[in-house]
Amino acid sequence: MNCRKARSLLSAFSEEELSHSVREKLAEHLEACPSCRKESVVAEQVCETVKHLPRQKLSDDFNMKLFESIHNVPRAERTESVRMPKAAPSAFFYRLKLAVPVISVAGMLVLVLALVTGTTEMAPVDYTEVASVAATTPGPERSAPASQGFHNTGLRGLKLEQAMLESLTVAVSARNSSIFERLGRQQKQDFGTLNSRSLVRNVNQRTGNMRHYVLPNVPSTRRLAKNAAY
Amino acid sequence: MIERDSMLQREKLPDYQLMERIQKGDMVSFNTLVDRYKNRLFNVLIRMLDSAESAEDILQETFVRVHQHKMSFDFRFAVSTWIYTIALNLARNELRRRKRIQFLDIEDFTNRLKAPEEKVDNSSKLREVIDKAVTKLPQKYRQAFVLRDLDQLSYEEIAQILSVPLGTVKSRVNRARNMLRNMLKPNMEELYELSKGSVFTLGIF
Repeated sequence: MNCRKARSLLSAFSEEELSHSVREKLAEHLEACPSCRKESVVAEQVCETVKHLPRQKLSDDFNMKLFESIHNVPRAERTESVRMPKAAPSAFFYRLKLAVPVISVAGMLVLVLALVTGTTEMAPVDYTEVASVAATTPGPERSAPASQGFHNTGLRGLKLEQAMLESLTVAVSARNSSIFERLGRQQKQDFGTLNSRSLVRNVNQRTGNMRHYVLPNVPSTRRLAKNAAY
Repeated sequence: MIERDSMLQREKLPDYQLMERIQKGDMVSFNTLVDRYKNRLFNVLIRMLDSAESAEDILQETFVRVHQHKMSFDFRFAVSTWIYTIALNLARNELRRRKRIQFLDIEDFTNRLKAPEEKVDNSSKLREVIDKAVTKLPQKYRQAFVLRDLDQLSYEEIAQILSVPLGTVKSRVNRARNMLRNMLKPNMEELYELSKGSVFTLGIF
């Protein structure tokens, strides 16, 4: 332990708030280093002197003046509220509270920059995440013409469609395999064409630009699972 | 005689029972509560505001508000914490008000900066220097330091009064002590000499 570190720990040392190992290291350092030892004695002396600083006494007529003031202040003036003490906030929320102005300013800056430069490009989507969310969320059944395909809104174009299809394939196969595990391998064929509209709905919700993509009309996963259980 | 007995009885009551009586309109209990806290708070406020006159005004305003808002007191908290919270909020407002109207006198400012470097001879003068150095600590560190070291409140109570996490209070007290030690560097020898005659040591030597 160096002198700088040792001196920064003196206060915690006197309050006995250091862990056993740090305390021992500091004690070792203090024994070896006369200047830090002197500093620790002085630090303690300062604290003790502060504790015993002379206390000033209030004027004798303080209570009288106070009671006069209580009775003389017109009711109309007594409107300002007082704050009740709060339970000490957790360190995380306290830091978050301190960070809010910084985050707000940063957000505004980004917004201004986006407006100035005129770029409206969206951040890339993590398709794996989209797929995993979609695969684990059951959705309502809804029939729609199977002839409908991707409606390309032009925002991201063909690349997006391809990526979405890949994600859908991954999600559907992941979902199938989890159900197969549950129901047994022999029923695998029943699920050969398993698909999910909820998957599409979730993807649509997250991207917001492909509204009517509907997969071929197949029974829902939940219904298939239910039938298989019987 | 009866009233005197009754006052003595009230002095033994814990804060929350006094508060219950105050809520029922008992002014003798209010007087007891004022007597219990006025001198402690007065000294904390002096160190916060660096002026006995302002401290007395703020103290008076604190108790006026305690009386005025007695019905809104939440019994989940300690009465002392509530009173300290009100007093420190008022002191903070006062300091903010002063900042707005203060015109900085450069000469006075330089003198104030130089003040702790004066060498002192005896312990009473040393106390004076420490007292002055405390008032030169930045406000947020001073609050925590004064409540802890001068008024001997627990860290938990200070955290509630200042509405900051417990760890923050501890680190502020630590920072304040370190700052104070740095400010008092010129008086290191005197402090060391003084400590030789006292019983205060860290208990390891």
